[in-house]
Amino acid sequence: MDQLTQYIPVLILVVVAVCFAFGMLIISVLFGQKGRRDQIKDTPYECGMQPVGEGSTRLSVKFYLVAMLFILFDIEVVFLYPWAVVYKDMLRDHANLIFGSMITFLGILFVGYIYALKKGAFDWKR
Amino acid sequence: MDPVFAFLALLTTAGAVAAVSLRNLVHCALCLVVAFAGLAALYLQLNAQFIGFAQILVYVGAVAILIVFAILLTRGSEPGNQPILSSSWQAGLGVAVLVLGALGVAVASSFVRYYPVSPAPQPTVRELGEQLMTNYVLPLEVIGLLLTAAMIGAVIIAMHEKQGPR
Amino acid sequence: MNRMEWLANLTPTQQFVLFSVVKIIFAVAILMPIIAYAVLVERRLCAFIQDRVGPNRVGPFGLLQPLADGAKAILKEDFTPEHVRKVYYWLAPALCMIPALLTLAVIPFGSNLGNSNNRMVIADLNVGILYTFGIVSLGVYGIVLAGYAANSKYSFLGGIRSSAQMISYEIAMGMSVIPVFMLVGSLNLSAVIDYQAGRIPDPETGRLIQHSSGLLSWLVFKQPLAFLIFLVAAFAETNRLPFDLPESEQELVGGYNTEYSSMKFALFFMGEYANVILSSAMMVTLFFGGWTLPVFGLEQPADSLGKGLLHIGIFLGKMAAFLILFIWVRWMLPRFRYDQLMDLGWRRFIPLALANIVVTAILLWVRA
Repeated sequence: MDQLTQYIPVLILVVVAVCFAFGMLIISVLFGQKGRRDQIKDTPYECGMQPVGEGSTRLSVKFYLVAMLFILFDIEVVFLYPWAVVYKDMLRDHANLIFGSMITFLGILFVGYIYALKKGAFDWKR
Repeated sequence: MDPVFAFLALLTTAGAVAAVSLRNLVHCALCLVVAFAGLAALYLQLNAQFIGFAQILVYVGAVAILIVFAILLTRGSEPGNQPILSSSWQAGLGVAVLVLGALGVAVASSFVRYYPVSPAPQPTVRELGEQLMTNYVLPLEVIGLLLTAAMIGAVIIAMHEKQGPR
Repeated sequence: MNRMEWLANLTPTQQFVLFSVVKIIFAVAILMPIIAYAVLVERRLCAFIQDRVGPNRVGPFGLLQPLADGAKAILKEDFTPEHVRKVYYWLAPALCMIPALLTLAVIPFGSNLGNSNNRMVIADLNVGILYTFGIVSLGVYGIVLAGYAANSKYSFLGGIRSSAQMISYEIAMGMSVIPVFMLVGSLNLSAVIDYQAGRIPDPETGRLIQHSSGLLSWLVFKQPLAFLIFLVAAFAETNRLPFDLPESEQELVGGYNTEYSSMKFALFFMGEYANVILSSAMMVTLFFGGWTLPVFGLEQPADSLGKGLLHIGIFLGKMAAFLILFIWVRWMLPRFRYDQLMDLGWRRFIPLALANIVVTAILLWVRA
């Protein structure tokens, strides 16, 4: 079968999922109670206290660091998939090559990981 | 032109244009996500399944998330007061037209144009893996080095404040 | 007879599309009641563990409770507070639900029905697992946008916390399954099930050859560490206790959904339960043999309609067991602290998953 034909069901599922999600939202608008608006109801919920300052506070730079490290590991994992698929077959002819190349790749990245670990990038207590 | 391609190309371009021209940074980031997703769909349309999903996994699922995080962290999501176009936009436009012209002339006069178009390959993940492990081992290791350098750089930038006195 | 002729006159592509539509409608129609009843089971089980009765008034044993809950979610006031960012406020619940439903596409929930062309998987993609992880990574947007849209401190903190947690455990999850695919040699999820049923492709011809199989050829017994990491990562990905930091009630009220009401609120919950159900389905597929059972020839694709239905039943049964596990754990374990959560993900699981990959590689090499 043509590779693209495989994606027709995925596309149909996307349409179904989008219709379902927004359909639910629309149903609740159509059938939901219509209540009054007042000032108290319109304030952000903070357990009955008057909200002070902006809704979005500043955050620890750690969150940024986590996202950055996530990208790097994500790319690493993406490279691991094609390797994993061919690993067993290529062991017969190029065992040294396939084992050595990926161990080197992982080893180089592990150095970076150890560095981040020692620098306390994963230490959320501080 | 293939209508599917036309639609995806239009979507991708529109997303990219919106990403650079909108005022609110969160809108921009989400338009960038649309552009990335459009690119991924274009890869899928070219039967490059692995690259297509790698694009979603890495760009839509990771790079764009980092951008959203960075915007939320710096509280820069409210529109600024500067005009969208910089003061030297005429010069920029001129350079862009020149570059486009030079590229166009180069492509038009290239001998590559006279090669017959080879049929599109249908690469499987298996073939990709074999190529990656034989012909492209060195680039793979270089990518490993690059990623490590990026990791160390990110840690140095983000953890910088910890070294100084508080 | 007339109807069959009409069906036979269609081109293969048209038939394929038609069957796909039918399959999708049935799959979604089965998933929705499972989500609804998962909530009821959760409440009844929680009540049982805490020595209470739980909802038992609507219908016999409270069996109609999900209907009442649904009607309530629809009929409640759909309130959009003044301080929210409107577009994202509306978009976020939908973005939570859509990826959860899309994961359904590549999961083989049965062998076949009727004839062997009607495979019980919506889209049998060759890069199945990449599709899954790609879609799962989109789930972060719903939560981060919910936190941003609500423009309230609790929501914002909950959203950011949750997304950082999800991306952290995505790495552990992605790495944990690499050894599985080293053994199977394909990213296709049907191939994973074939492998566990002893149908392994011949290296030269690519034809499937039946090897002897049994319970021990399930990947959970071949890769127990991979399964353990995947299981814990699945708990973290779906924001379930002991990792429900984003909605930890005592600190953040409700987390990213604090400012939401009526159906929008319900959509977040349906998204969460859909994620729980689909990660159960992933675990069944990857580690517990999918729709197969190593007895009575049930590891072979169905040759009759009844057997095909039985396969779907087996799959749903295994999935239900995991669902119960998810619920049981929630009421048994206390919540992790945020630093403990990050510590577990980044400092324990990533090296562990890497070590598992290397050990599996060495073992395969020694055996070859």
